[in-house]
Amino acid sequence: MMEPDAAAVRVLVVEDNDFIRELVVTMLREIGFRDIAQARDGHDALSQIETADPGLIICDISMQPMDGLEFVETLRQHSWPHAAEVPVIFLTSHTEAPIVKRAFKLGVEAYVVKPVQKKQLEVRVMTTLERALARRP
Amino acid sequence: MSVPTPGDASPAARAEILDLERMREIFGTIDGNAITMLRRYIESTAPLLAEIGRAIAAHRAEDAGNAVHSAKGASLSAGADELAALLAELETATKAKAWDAAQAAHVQVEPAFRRVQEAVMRLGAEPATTGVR
Repeated sequence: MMEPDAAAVRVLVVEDNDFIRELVVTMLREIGFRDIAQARDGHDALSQIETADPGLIICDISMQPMDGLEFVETLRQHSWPHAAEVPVIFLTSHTEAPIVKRAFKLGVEAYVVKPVQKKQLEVRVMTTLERALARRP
Repeated sequence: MSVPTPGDASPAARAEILDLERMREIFGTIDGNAITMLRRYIESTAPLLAEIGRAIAAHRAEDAGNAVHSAKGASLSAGADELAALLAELETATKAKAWDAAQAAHVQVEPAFRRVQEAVMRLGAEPATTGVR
């Protein structure tokens, strides 16, 4: 399997808590990502999706006014060319079965459970990118 | 300082005010960057706690729940374990719309937050140890 190059992937971090968003961005930089866009909620993320053009989205579930599930549902119908296949990782403390089921139906690749730990984030992100690379024709 | 009382086994009483391992895992050491990040936690959590107080006073369960959930997640990530445990109790109470229990838990939140603020302020002035109890 090909090794993903973190420095070559643009990530979009969607999180409404300023501190957690900054913490995740810091962890991603430590992991090796250089190009990181940020959004405060689902609406903000959708408004910048085409300009950000991310290769990976890391997204909280509980956000106001548009939560992570609604964001991904809307994203999958979006006209942005990569809307249907961009890998999404949820960042959340919600692990209830109905939410997990809904998330995986939307093609969410993985969960990172809060409190976010750098090692766990790194494993999930790199595994997700490896899978995305393997799917490429 | 948080001193557990004999027989008090609540998660908040057993938790550290500030567990520095969370920041150490990211930054390697408690340096200027880690302290700046903890200050960002304080700055971004203060307005959430104010919103929690207003929402509880007005019995707005959804608003209280959203703010509590956000503050709890940030506190866990910052290593403010005592405060996170109190917020978890508060989250349960607001979900159940148990306003007396929510008020009782909320009374403990402000002093716990002040203890975290004091612990973060001290970090710039003295060498960091493992955590603060």
